Amino acid sequence: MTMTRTVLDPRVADPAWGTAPLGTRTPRHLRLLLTLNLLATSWYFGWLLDPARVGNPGLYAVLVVAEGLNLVQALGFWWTLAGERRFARGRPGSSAGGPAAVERPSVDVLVPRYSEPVEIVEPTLAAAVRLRGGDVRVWLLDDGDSDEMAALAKRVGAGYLRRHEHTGAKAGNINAALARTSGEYVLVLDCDHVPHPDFLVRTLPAMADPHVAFVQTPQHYANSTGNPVAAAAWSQQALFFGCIARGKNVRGAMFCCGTNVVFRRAALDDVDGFPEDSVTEDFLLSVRLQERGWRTEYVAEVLAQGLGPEDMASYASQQLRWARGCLSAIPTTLRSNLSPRLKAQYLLSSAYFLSGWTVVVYMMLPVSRILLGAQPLAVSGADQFLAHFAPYFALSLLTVAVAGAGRYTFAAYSMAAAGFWIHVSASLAVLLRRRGRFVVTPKSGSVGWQPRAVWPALAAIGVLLGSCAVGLAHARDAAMLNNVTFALLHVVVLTSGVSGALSPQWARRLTAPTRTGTAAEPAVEPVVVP
Amino acid sequence: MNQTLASGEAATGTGPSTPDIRAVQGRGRQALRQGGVLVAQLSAGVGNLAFLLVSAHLLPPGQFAQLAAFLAVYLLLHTVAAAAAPAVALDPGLEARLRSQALATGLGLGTAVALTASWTSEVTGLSVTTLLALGAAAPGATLLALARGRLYGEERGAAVAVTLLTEPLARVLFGIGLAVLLRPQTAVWGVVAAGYAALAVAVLTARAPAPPGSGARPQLSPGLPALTAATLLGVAVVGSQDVIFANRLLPDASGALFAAVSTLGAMVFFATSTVPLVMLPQAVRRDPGALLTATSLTGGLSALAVAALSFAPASLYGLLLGERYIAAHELAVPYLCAMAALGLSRVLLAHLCATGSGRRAFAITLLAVALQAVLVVMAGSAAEVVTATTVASCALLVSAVAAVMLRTPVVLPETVAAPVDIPGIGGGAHRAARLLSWRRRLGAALPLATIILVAVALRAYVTRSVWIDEAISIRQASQPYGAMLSQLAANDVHPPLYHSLLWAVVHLSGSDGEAVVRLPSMVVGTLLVPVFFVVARDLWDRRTGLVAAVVVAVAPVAVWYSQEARMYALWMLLATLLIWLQAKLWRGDRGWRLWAGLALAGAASLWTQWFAVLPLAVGYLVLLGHALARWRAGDGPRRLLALLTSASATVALVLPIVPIGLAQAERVLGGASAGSGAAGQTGSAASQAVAGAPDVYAALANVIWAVWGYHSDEQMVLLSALWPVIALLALALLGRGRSREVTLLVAVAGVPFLVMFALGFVQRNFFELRYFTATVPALLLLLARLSATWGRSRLTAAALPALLVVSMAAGLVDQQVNRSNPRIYDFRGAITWAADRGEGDDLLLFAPSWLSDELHYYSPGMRTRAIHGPVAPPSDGTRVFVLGSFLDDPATSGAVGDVLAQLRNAGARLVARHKVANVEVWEFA
Repeated sequence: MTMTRTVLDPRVADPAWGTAPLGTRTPRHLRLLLTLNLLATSWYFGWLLDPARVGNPGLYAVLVVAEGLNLVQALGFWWTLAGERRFARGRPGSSAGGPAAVERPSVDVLVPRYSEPVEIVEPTLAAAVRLRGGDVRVWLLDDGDSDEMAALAKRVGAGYLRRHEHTGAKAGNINAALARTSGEYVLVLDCDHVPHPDFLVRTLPAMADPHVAFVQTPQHYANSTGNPVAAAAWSQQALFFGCIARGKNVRGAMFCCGTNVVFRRAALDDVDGFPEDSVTEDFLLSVRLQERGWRTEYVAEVLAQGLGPEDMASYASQQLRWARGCLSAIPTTLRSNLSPRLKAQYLLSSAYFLSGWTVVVYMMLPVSRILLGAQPLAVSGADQFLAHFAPYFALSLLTVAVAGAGRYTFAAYSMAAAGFWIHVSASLAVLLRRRGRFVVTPKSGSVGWQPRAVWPALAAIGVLLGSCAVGLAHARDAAMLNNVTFALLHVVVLTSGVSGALSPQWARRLTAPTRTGTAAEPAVEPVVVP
Repeated sequence: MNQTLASGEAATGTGPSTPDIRAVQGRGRQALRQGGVLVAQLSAGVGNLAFLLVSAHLLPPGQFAQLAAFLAVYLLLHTVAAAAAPAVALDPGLEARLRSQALATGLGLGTAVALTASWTSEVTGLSVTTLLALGAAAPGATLLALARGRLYGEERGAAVAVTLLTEPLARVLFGIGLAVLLRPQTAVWGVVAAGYAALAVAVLTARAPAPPGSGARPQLSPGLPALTAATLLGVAVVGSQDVIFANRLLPDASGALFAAVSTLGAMVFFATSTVPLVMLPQAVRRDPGALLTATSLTGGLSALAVAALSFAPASLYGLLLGERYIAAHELAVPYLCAMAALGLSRVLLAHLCATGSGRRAFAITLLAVALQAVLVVMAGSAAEVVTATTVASCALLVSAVAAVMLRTPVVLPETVAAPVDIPGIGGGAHRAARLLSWRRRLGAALPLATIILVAVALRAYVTRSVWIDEAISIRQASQPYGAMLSQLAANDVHPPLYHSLLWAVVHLSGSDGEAVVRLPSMVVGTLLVPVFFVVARDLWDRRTGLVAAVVVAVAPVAVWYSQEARMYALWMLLATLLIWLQAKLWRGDRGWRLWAGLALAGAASLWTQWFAVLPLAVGYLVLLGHALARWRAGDGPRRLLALLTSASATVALVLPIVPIGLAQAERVLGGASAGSGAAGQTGSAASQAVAGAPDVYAALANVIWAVWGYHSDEQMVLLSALWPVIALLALALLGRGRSREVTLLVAVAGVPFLVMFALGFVQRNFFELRYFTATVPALLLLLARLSATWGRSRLTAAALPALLVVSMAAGLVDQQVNRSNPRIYDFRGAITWAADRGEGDDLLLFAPSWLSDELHYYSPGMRTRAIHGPVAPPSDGTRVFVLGSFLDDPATSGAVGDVLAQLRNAGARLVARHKVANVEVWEFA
């Protein structure tokens, strides 16, 4: 029985993804690309910011703000990438440097659980108790108060912890466990993340430096090969856990991602454990640790495999939580005493969740031109815009493709774009100081018909299509056609992005894969494509 | 047991199994049955035509008109009733179940027609007798459809043939007999009687025992017969609704012209109408050869008809349709192609229905009906109606092909084993096995053969006269070889390979007719199709190969240059071969033949066009990088040495033409104009995209030209406005991975494009597609690859190639037919018009002066002179013609205006003015 489950569960198979090999060829290509990017960016923004370009002042201002936000993200991305070469040469404690010798340290493996079923949790616990490279005690932290879980823990040889007051969500659960355990190191695994037996062997050497607070590893979605939503979500993640995380590590700015991370208990004690006042406790914890002078490390190897969101509702829920948490951390980051470099890196990560606003702006521009005749740029000819924008756009995409080793897919991009409303909603909630609550990302989805999960994107599609119809009814000249095409571009992107929520039975049959699966190749994360 | 054995053998490819050979023998019967019925249908058509012709001679005009009108309504009645035939062919039991209903319907309709005959007679102008005959025919029409449907369903091919032949024979017998023996107006009763005679034959023959095996058929889903009938009725609607709309919406002259064209098209369409009906019961049984046989017959017959009409002179159209419809010859070929596509679609859709995909077939047909209706309603001329039907038919065909391919994966035999003796099959086993092998090969080759046929038809339908550059090439090729080379060195800018080829064709054939001088381009342009298939199949897979072949078959630029007596088609072919060799070498294929081929193809392309150096250099640089990398990786310098040897051989092979190149370069760099002072580019003065410094729009225009062909300036502006599609394409590229083949194609397409863009700032006319035509094959291969593989679902896997091909086909139709295309110059039309009206003593003045080669080629049979200086008015009895082109060039229009003013001031009278595409002629007396 166990055998059968083990064979079928993708989390125990070999990962279908590895971070790009850190040779010397790619960084050289990247450096050339980054230089070209800078030239193209200057070429475009030099043209855009010329006062002669101002058409409708209000729209122009909105466009410049949106482009500025994208530019900041793009510059930050390129800056992060630019550090790869040093990383490739090897840093102490990095995977490139090889594991340092650490004699069987005591490690508490904490597996927080809320409502996940046995079939999700069991492989994780079973794998955790087989971890090598330390004196391991595995603890199931059950906030669901399930006797079934207690029995499971006992069956696999793990400890079982339950608390009386369920405050502080996941952070509170872990803090409660920290108070009841004593290992020198603490490995935190989400209950759907099955660790590799050598997880500790590969990560603990980085702890040889006593200033290292935690070692983060990639958060791989093992279900990305069979589910289009998980595949697109993983494609977003893969860019982050590939070149971005490597680059951040070189900059000393890798932050904790909540799972697949091993902490030094002393560091956690130094900041009084996980902060319980945020829905992204991991991000805030990283800021606090680095404020206290601790360092962070990233091991670019898939050492645990979990489950990504399998439907659009789960994806939206996950993204909303991340967006609210990261955006709410901006004031803390700004007030922190981090170095400017670290502060900039953290702010870049947080500000990604504002990029949904830029999507709104880009969608709004053709609509305003079609319906109101107003456009942000002076009528200097679309050819001028194209001549300046095209190189910037093309090189930015090329950089994402090269840096991400082709992992970032159109499906990932379109799903991120169709989630524009998540960023808008999250930023408004943060601005209005509405408290969010920690919602566990569902580990099993209902692929199919979920229009409510994507209704803002559907509304946007409706508005765009309506504008196109109105526009074409009034004029069919080149200018109108150009704006209608722009609007349709957004429609295609949004439709692709929400398609995971709009798959009735007949459509699933029609779009059944012709070859090995509908899932895209695992590929990228938060990157703003201008 | 046999089935298991067959499966095993099929999987391992060890040889033909017993069932396979039986299937081959069965296919032979299928082909015989299809062929027999088809011949009967054609004979029936000829018989009906003969009846009409005899009647025309025998009957007084008024009676003949009555008969013709009766036949039109009679045909309509039978066409509607015949919609039931496919349903019965699928389920012969329906005949018995529907017989009484059909009879009641026919009787009701007939009674209604009879009762209202006197009133209808006044409205329609048909005589009461004629209407009564029509009423009498109604019950027979519905019953005949059911009876024939049953014959088709029970696979009684001979009986179908007999009933088909009975009708025209009986028409002649009864119709002519009654008209001669009784009164002329009784001929219509003869037609009615002929219908009943055919019915009687059908009913009687159906009483014979059914052929063995015809009763064995799988259970059909309820509603499938009705869906099939509806689908085929929809196809019939596509075949006929255009003429109804055209008659209603177009001006009388255009409507009549289209009616004439549609008459020819209908002949092709109806000629193959029996094929799907014969195929249906076979398809229901999943007979493997049913579709192949049906498509082969339909395609072959249609291709024959298209080919015959392609080569028919305009005078034949005048003879067949009347002089007033002679213009139909310009529209007939595309319309016939549309009808041929429709005929093929009908077969494919019927097969889809019979194999359980009726809903899909019906949906596709409905979309085509709607698409055609929308396009026809928007049409403003006969040509546009033809375009509408062509687009709808092609869309229907592409969709049907995609639907069939999706449903039936193509499995190619890897090996075909030698024939073996198979007990129980009889002495014909060897022959059957050989036949099986042959048929498998034929089946595998059929798609490509069909694509090549389409390519030939598209390339054979030339819609423009000889262009200035062509005229120059023809003049050069008409000279002795040495003189031609001297001319090239002294006055041209091209290397001599293509000119040598043209020289050989002209001197061997002894003719410089349009078809002759364009033959080399047409041949190599057609050759591009199988080469594309082979290259794409080798680089990727068979599916991509087929998509690539279709893409290049309909690619507007490929068609355009296949019809031009210039070097560009040859260059594209050589460029494709170069890409193939470079890709093979880069992926690691070895052998001196590849390197030798690279040297030869490279040299040949340089002998064809100097700018071929760009893609050649790109390819060599890519290979150089690869060779160095392999060397560094420890593979030794062998690859590098081979590359250097190949490059050296290329240089050596090009050395003989270096003196010509140097002479040309010296002259061009010295500031002399290219060629004979002709326009720097095709349509330079008319096209906005080639004026001023190169810019983004110029780049977009060149991309559009490369993929979707040449169009009017207005359309180019609108097409350029669609550039966000490129942004979408770029986004869609994310995560698609890369391969050496694709990287090479991008490099070969992109680098020359960028270099020529940069050179355009120095010499503007360099940035024009003609000078980097070699990028077209790379671009088309890329698009074929993308469209063939991007779709990861069944829907997108079919939709993407279809979308690409349909969009290119639409571009092709517009490029070829739209006279607003700034690259279409109808010199032939203009000069022929003047030649028809002028005589030897007349004078034809022309501007600009570089049209002299055109005037020489299309000799107008009078004195000709370029416009310069004062012009004397025509003397008594003579005429002066003024021919002007490139009139948006101020200097030319000024010169022409000046001459016109001089002639008017001198008292010359403007007799006529003739305007054709981009050329205008004035006639003064």
